[in-house]
Amino acid sequence: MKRSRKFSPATLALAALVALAGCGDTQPKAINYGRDECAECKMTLVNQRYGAELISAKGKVFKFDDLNCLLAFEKKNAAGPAPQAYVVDCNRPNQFLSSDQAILLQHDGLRTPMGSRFAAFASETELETARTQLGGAGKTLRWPDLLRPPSAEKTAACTTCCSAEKKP
Amino acid sequence: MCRLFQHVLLCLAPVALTAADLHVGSGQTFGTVRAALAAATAGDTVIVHAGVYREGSLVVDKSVTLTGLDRPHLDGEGRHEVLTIAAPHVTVRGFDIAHSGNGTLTDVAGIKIANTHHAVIERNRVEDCSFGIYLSKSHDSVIRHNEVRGSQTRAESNGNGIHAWSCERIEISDNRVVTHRDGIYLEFATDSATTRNTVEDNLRYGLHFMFSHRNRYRENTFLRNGAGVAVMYSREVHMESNHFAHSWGAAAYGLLLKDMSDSRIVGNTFDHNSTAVTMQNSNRMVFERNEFRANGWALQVQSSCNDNAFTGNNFLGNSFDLATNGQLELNRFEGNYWDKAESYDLNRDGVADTPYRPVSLFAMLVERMPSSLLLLRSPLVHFLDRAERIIPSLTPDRLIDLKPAMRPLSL
Repeated sequence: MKRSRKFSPATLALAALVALAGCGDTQPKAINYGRDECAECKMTLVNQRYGAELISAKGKVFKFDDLNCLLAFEKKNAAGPAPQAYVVDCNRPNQFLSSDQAILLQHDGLRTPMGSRFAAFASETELETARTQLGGAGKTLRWPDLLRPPSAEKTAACTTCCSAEKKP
Repeated sequence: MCRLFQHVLLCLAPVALTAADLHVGSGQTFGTVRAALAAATAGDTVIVHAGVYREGSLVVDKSVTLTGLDRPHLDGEGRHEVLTIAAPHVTVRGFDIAHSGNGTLTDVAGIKIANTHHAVIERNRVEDCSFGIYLSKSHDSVIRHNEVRGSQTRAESNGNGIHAWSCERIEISDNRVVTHRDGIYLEFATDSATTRNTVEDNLRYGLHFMFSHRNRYRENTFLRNGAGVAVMYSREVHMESNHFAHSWGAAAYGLLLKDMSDSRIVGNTFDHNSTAVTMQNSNRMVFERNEFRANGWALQVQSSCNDNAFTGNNFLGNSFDLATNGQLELNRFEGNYWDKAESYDLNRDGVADTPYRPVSLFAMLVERMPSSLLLLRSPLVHFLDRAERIIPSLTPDRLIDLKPAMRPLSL
């Protein structure tokens, strides 16, 4: 009787909470521009309009300067539980959009650090404003469009290697 | 002979007759540069006299020469792209260009050369502009003897000093670029030469190549740039007689090579960098006659690098000569001078009689456990390194210089 009292429901709940807090943190971490290095291409992140993060199931944060770096990294490290992906909101420095929130514009006028030409926006209206600023055209995508095999959507899933060969 | 002269004179005559000098300034024919540009025809020279000109965004859409007398000042008032060149064969010389606007999604520059060719930008001073001099899809152009100075208060909208995107046969020489994001940036630029520039104190890289093949850069000086110089995703880049110095920091390198191939690094000096050269996924690179002096690491070569040759280089006073996370068995080290090698030369041919292993045991340890760097200079580490050199057990056994030089090589 005495022994069972030792593990009261409150204690158990507390223990569970502590355990969850330890491993379940998948919130994006602020990018320290000018200091942080891209986990894929090793370049220092400097352009606050672009950037992305992957947070592994264990809470490890990987920072990227461009979307194609994130995609290339994810492809190489596909084993294990799927990480959570975030992209920098093009209009709000150091604010992140989760991969299901973000609306992506791919436009030749976007000079992204690794040539993916992708920018992420929080809403259709913001994306359209940017499109107008860039003189129209370009392509709107959602996250699942990026994950299609390259044959189906060559430009969208373009990794660093093939954008290197493709001269604009 | 006389007839030939007549022909030549006849050919020149129309040019001489039509080319006019248009003077701009107070008390001159034209009050504004814009008015003179509107009146000019191809081949004319617009001579701008000293003074401050606030004319918003000026677009040069005719093949003219713009010459500044006594450094006229063109001011973008923090709102405009100061000068845009949209015609071939335009020369801009002798101006002070300052205070461009900031780009939102597009890049704004002090001088932008867009979709044209044969532009010459020389002896200008470009100060406090988002991007300094910007070439976009413009071939056969020359950027020389300019001074480009970025503003540190611009923070994230501080772009690159000299920026070339999708250009062929560009010459960038004798410029001085300071406090921009990247000093000189080339993306999709081919067959270009970057020579005798001084590039200092830029936020990220002094020089940055992306997807830029068949380029040469020589006799440049790169000092105190945030992360050094990065040459990435390119092939056939010839790097000669440059000086890479004072790139300090955890992610700072004298020279970062990533996804490079078939390039030569010859006669360069690397001194006082955290890491002089770091290489990832780079193949068939040749390092010859370089001097690595007083760096933390002289070389960091990742296991993804193959068929590289390091011959006839001097390694002097570096904490580590070489670090790697692999075996590097497909790379060649030969005839270098390593100041840490302790050998003898019985036949006096200048070649040490014992081979040298450039990766120390401690370098291997630090590679796996960075925090063990704390033990640098500890007597125990020194002892272990010595023991390892005599009886190698953990260091890559085929990573070896069989013919190390006895004395520093004259490079």
